[in-house]
Amino acid sequence: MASNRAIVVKGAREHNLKNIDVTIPRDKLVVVTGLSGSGKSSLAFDTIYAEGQRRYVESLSAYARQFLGVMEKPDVDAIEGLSPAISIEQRKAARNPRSTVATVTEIYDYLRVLFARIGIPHCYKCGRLIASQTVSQIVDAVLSLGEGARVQILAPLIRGRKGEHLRVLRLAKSRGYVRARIDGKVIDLDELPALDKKKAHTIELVIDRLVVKNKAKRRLADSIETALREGDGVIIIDRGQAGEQVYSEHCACIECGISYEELSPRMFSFNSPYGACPTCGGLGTRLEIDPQLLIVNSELSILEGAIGPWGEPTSRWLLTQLEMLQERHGVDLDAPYGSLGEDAERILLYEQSQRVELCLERGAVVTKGDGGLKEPSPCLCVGTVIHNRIGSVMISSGT
Amino acid sequence: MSILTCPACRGARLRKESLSVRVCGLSISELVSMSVKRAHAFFSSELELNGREKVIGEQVKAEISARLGFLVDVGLDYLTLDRSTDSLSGGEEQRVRLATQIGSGLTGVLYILDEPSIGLHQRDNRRLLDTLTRLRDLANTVVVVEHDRQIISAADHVIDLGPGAGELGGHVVATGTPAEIAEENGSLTGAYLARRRSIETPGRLRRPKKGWLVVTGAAANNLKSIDVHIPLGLFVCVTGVSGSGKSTLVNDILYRALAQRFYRSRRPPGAYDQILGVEEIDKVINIDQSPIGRTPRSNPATYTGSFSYIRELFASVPESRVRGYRPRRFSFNLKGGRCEACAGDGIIKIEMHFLPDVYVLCELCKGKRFNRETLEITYKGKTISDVLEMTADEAMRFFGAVPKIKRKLKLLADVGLGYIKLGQPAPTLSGGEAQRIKLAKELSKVGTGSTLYILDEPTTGLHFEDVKMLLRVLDRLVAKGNTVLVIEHNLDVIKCADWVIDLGPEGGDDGGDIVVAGPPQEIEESTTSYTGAYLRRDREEERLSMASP
Repeated sequence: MASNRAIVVKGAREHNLKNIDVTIPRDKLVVVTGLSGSGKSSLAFDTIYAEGQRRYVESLSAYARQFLGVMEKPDVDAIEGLSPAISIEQRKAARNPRSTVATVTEIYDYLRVLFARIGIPHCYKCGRLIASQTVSQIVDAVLSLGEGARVQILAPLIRGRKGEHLRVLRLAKSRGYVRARIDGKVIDLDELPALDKKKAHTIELVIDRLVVKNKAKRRLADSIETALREGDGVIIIDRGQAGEQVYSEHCACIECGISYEELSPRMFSFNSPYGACPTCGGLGTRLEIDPQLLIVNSELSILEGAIGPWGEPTSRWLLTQLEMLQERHGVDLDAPYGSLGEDAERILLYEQSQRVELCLERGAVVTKGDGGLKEPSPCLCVGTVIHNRIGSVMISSGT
Repeated sequence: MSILTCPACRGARLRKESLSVRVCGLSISELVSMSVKRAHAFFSSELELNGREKVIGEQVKAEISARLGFLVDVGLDYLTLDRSTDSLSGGEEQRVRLATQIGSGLTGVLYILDEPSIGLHQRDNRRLLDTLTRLRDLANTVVVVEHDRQIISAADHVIDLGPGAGELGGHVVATGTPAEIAEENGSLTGAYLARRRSIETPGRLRRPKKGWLVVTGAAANNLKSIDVHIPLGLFVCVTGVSGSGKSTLVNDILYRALAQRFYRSRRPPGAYDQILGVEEIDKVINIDQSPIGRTPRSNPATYTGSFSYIRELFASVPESRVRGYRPRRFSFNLKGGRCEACAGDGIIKIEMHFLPDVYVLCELCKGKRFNRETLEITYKGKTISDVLEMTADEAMRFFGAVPKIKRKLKLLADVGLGYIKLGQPAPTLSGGEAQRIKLAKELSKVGTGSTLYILDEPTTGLHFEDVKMLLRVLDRLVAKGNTVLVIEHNLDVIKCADWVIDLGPEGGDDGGDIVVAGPPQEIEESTTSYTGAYLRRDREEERLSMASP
């Protein structure tokens, strides 16, 4: 049958089409051409593609169709041999700032899987490799130090925290441990020194001391397991003069203690709260007040209208506050804005370090110290002038 | 307010924990900041997986390199992976989606594409064609709406519609293989394919005489700190392979810098040292393909201003005078004459929440947009609603006796839009149509003769015959003393330019230099320019076809 090898359009009359019959051979590269306005798009998109879409929608359940609406049948007598149609047009309606070349091509989805499965986490603070080991891996590592090596297995309890840590130490003693290493010195738990509670201390429990031997593998494994339990997944193998090695069974930076959950693809998606930068929500940009746009002419002084939204300040309310800034912070209202310096700019545009309460009394400014007026009103926080006026149109809640 | 890079992630979009996970020493954001070309090299040769990683990662790696390969094939190797899709041009975006479709590996599907060659240099056309044929060889039917000579010639089957536009079109003029079309006498496309018709190079060539506009030290994106000399008062064409920096130079630097100067625009231009010769021009107008309006209330009649005259005309017919109808009565934007059920839209929008909005015809006016009383007023037997349904050509004949209206409408016909309906809502116009409506409006203005017009790919959506018409329009602008600067890949346009600036030599980092600049003849003689090579080949083919019959 011919329709197996061709798409046959009969009597197409959409838009300006003149009741035409067209045969499109299947599995071929077919070009539709003609002057602009000659009906190319009417044939390709509004007739053939539209009918393909309509038939697809018709095949859906009545429930699904109620959301899609009734698609109008294109003005055509019949189309035979039509297969599912996909249109690749030049513009789609939605413009989404989260869509990138990598996401639309699905390359990003594969990259996420790749990073979640074979990515190597590093500590974002110190850049160190973050690796997790199992007990057997740690045992093997220790064994590889060679027969006869003397090691001490430690479980870190306190890492650089101030205090006497009496409770921790007593608890360890009551559970039968005899030694601990405090700030690098091994001591007997029976003879506890008084710790300076104003200083930071590091306490590690000595779980075992042994000489590495293949025969001692069993004991080594037991000790490491105990140490991991006591040290919350972290263990230190101390080799005396030869240094020490830290292992962790969790994904955590052994130095900074920053732990990683198990890597998953969603951690690399900027459209998921697990991956998106919390500051910008995964957009990479933020809508913020741009000082360059705010200051229309840095050669003018504030009173001459350097700050765009204020113009030349005339309102008493604004002037009062500006005078106060001049008084309290030495912001020169008559000097060109450009010469004010960073401090003044920060105070003007963002905030001042201390909260100043102000009270208007017949136009006079009374700055309020401790125990002044009871309830100063109206009371304004000067530093937020710009925020109140411009900040209210921002999308996020402010700087 | 400005959109600034996020201070926390510096644009990388992810939390710091995620960014410190590395593969081969690279974080995911470093990886996606690579160009497609670079990433393709990374995944196909540099990324070494071993042992456990190999088992897990090999399949994923293969998928990624295949997809990157498709992107290279459609000529997009200069894009970075993290490039946001809303900054892509229409053609680029279409090709990205084309690459995605090939990756899906479906068979038995009917693919319909609209001008995939837009924005592609002739050199990259070949690769696009290979992609289309690959899609076909996967047992799919590929239907392409296209005007490009190379793609038409490579098709298995061509359907030529016409013969004219609008009401004069809609017939199948010819169908068959490209060779059969070329022999068809009645087919305009065939005539151009066989080169019985062609866009002739203008005999006279304008020489630079009005001075130069010089951009020095242009260095934004991939531009290599170049000095560009643009002759004023001429038709100037900027060419180069995709990603060579054409748009950066013309749109990001030149247009923005001039807009800043003339219109106090606050959009910062790309990096450059200075622009000399600005005093020679008095304004800059960018005629791009963005829509002329986003509301359905804007249409060719309102945009060109002809609708005001038409309304005045309707208000002046005797029946209107009797009833006291003023021109405002005939506006579908104002209360009084319009249909109130749809507020003059003719259609009613129904919001579907998570689905696209659905439009239904207004029950009351049946899409006529006006109320019954207004529709009782007729001019030569037609209501105001009938007029909106007319094409520009029809309306021109209809209003032949009213010179003011006729003149405005003729401009639409001059730019090849005679087929367009006066009331066609602006959002439904194609980019090319919107651009030409803007051109028509510019032509209707009394010019100062020292305007710089910038057009990005004006031949989008244009058939050979339409290109001819467009060139005539641009020529009229230049004849008034204006400068027309176009970004274009169409060889017919390039050879008709007075001056050509060819950027390249390649796309991305290997581009951004001036390969050659001068009249088209000089470009043709250049041995280093791709554009020159294609111009030569085109001339050669033309010569052969002239000689053969």
